[in-house]
Amino acid sequence: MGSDTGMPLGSANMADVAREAGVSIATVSRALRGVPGVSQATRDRIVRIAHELSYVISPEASALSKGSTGRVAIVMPHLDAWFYSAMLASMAPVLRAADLDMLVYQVEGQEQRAAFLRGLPARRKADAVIITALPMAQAEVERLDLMGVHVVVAGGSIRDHPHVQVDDLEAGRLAVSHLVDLGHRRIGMIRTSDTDGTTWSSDLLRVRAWRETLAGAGLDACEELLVTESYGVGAGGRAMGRLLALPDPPTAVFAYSDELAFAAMAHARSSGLRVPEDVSVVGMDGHPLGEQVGVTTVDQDVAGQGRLAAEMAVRLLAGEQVRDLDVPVRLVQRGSSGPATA
Amino acid sequence: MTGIKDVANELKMSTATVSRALRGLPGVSASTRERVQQTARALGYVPSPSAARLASGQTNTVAVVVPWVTRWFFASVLQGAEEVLREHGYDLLLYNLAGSADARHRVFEAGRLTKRVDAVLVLSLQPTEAELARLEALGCPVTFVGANVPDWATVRIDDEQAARTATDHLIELGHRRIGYVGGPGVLDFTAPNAREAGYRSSLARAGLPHDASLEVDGAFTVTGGIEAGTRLLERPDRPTGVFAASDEMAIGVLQAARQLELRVPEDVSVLGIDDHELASFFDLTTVAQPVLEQGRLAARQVLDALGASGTEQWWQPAQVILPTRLLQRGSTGPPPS
Repeated sequence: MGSDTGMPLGSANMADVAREAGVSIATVSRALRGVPGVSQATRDRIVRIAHELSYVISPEASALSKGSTGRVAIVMPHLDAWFYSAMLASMAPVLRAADLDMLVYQVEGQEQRAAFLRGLPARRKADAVIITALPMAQAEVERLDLMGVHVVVAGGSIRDHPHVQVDDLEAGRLAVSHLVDLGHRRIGMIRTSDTDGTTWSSDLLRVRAWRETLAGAGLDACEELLVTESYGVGAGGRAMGRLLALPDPPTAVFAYSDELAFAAMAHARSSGLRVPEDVSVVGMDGHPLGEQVGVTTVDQDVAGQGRLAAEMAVRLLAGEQVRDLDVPVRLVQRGSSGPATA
Repeated sequence: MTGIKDVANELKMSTATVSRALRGLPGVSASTRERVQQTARALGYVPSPSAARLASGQTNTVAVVVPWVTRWFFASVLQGAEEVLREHGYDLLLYNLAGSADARHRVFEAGRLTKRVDAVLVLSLQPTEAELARLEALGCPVTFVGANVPDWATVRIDDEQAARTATDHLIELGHRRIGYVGGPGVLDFTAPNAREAGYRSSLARAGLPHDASLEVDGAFTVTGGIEAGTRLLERPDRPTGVFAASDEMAIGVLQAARQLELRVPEDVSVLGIDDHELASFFDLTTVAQPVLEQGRLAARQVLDALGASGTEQWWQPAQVILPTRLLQRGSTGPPPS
């Protein structure tokens, strides 16, 4: 974590400046080193705060970003869902090639996030943290800066931290437009509530895509068609059950993830409905079993996102510049979506 | 206060041996371990976790070595282990080998773990003698999950028994020609060999002939299962039942059956081992194993050894074998008449 080496003992460090300025350490670093990507107004403000706090960037400090622990911490809400293990698997070889080890933290729910951030267990244990699809509350985001390490965000974005993500708005539109094009007029959406008390860009944007695409087609995105279940085994089944129990059930459903889509399809079938004849389902991810299940999905190249996020962390540690990356998505049409019949 | 030296003096042993015996490390015979523990108890010696950790340079970090983190079994074990480690304030250092011999060498033999971790969990790998020697030299608790490593702490199922349960189920349904999809994988695992042995022993006990051409490598992946299933099921003398050594391979075999337009279970029965999260989606009969629990127990074992879980028991390298059970779903039935 070298951002505070090379400074006189007791003086402010880059994390202090970042906190005071309400920006990430990466932004402070960029601003003070005069590299592009920071507006003049922000740069001026950071320089002023750094001056007030007597923070002095030293040449050694700039060079220091190489890091000292040889580790990168990966923080994610679950380990046993495919999305997260695919992220881990694609990050591992990149970090190994850079001779970095990988610490893994599973942080689920508000309480665990608070404990993680309170203890800042990654502090001095890692040179960089990759926040992977982990929703955080505003106050929690501010605490990230206290870690005094580089922060990279994978599978979404958090404030101004460097990130790798897909365009979730575009991904959601692809899925919902596909169903609209098939003639569906009542299209539901299934999501899980592991974003308790927080906002998560992917979640907000996919829901927004669902609303906007329906509105754009002159269809009603009424609240009863947006179903939220708490994360866990059976969430997709319960959500589908609620949609099918509506007086006027949807003929098509967009699920936040492929795993939710699998469970939704299984529930529909066990309720005696045919997929896609009676109800169409579209997921999102590109899960490796999607082919076997026959689910139409929006492939978000999870392995690509993980690899790029790890490369981003390695580059930051080498003192290089990084820029935010959007990974392209594509619709993969399989058997779970078909024309509306009703 | 009694120190470890007092125990060593009393027994006329080195403090190193006493320490190894009390920490449950290998290289100490069971009788010596028992004698050391008796003496320590008699003298009122209480190993201080903090002192032990000070001496060894506490890192509060446990390494977990995983062959393939994207496979459901390993991801679930990891989840279980992480829960317990986090609860006790330990960090988890993940080494995902993903079939790379280099990665395996780096973690075991290139000194990667030295002074970096307090304990090690190794998932499903069958360690070589050289690797065991390096692990022993680390001098920290090690638990193997899903592998049978004599004299070391392990948490696993009885793989041979699980395979017999699966094969016997098909035999009881009346199947006489039963294919096996397994495979050595890229790294050396315990499970493939033991499961193949279980399959063969069930056939032998039922007086069924062993036909090596019915044993096909499915690489423990879905795509491997599709290829293996296709090879088995496109034969004119295809088996009426297929036992795959993992659910992911069994799901692949189901897919192969569908592509060949065979009905399951009317034309062919298929079952696996695991109870994968999607097994019920595919209506797959399987021999279920407690997976999260294996991760949790393995983490508890090393924490007990470190004195971190507040246990007052003396720790010994235990061989924990968890039960499995047949979960009958719709993918198995009587053979076609």
